[in-house]
Amino acid sequence: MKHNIKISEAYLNSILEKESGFCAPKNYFNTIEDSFELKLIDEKLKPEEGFTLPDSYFNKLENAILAKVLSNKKETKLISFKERILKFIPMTAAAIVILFVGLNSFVFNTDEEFTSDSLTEIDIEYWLDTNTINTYEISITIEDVLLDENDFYFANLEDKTIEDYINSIDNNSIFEELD
Amino acid sequence: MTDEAILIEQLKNVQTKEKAFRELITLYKERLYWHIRKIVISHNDADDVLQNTFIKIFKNIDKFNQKSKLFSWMYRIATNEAITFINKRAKRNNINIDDYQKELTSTLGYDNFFTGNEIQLILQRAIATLPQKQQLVFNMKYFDELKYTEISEILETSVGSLKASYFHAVKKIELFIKKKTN
Repeated sequence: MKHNIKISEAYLNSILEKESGFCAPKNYFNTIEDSFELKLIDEKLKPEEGFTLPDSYFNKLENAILAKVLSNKKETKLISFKERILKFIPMTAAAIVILFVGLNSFVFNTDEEFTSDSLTEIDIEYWLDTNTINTYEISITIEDVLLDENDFYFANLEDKTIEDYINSIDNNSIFEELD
Repeated sequence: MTDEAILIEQLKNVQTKEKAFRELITLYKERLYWHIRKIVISHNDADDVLQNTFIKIFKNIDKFNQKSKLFSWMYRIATNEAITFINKRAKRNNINIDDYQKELTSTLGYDNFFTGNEIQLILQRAIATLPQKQQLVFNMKYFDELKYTEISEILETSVGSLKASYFHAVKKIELFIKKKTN
């Protein structure tokens, strides 16, 4: 074996001259000490340096995680995707119907504008017959409406006309209202 | 007291540690660099690993028990750092270590810091085909000219096993080169 090795080594020496072919940059070895000192300063400044771990922390970690995972697994109820989808179908359908009706009432019917003129007498009569109006409702409705003297300028009433109007009112009805 | 013993004492003393360390780097930088370079192949990687090796030596010098020579202890750290480095690189590239080393030598011809001839390129490719232990033994014995006892101390392997590894390595390399050149 020794003899064989010598022959093989001699062959390699003859073709390689013990050169590997690798080279280093010029002056590389002159700067290693300085580079190392810089690296050493970096190492000293590393933020991890101050942190420590409890004894055997990493040895116990697997068991701690597995214990948590297994206990969570027992509590978790598995719900199939199909079951969940079936549960949501009626709810989704109801939501679509409500949405359609709502949009139809408040959004799509905006073309027709209601005015007091568009109401017929029959409609008003029917409404008065079927609904009771109390003063409270009226007061709430007109609470924020400010009446200004100027609002009555168009009337241009003469004193005599007003006097005639007052005289025409039945006093009893006024007393009844005050009661 | 030998020079090495004095140096170790200075390295373990807080007051003299940094100065002694500079001396230690000056003494061993080239030998460790070439050892690392032959494992990691590229100069930039060798530079990183060399610096990490010295950092490790600096941090762990107090743990050095002087059962082996300082040089052997440093060589062992350098070897471990270099092998850990290429293992990580291979893992990151999602390939095994053998394929990673073959890949490294396949692009060696374009490396600015490889000035070898065709035969030296073939030699590096031949080394890359060897099992890791045979690669280490071949480089340490053939290029670094270390004695088997020294390699045994560094790699913590018996001399007999090292001799067998070297024998197989040399034979395989010889065969590989002959095949490629004929």
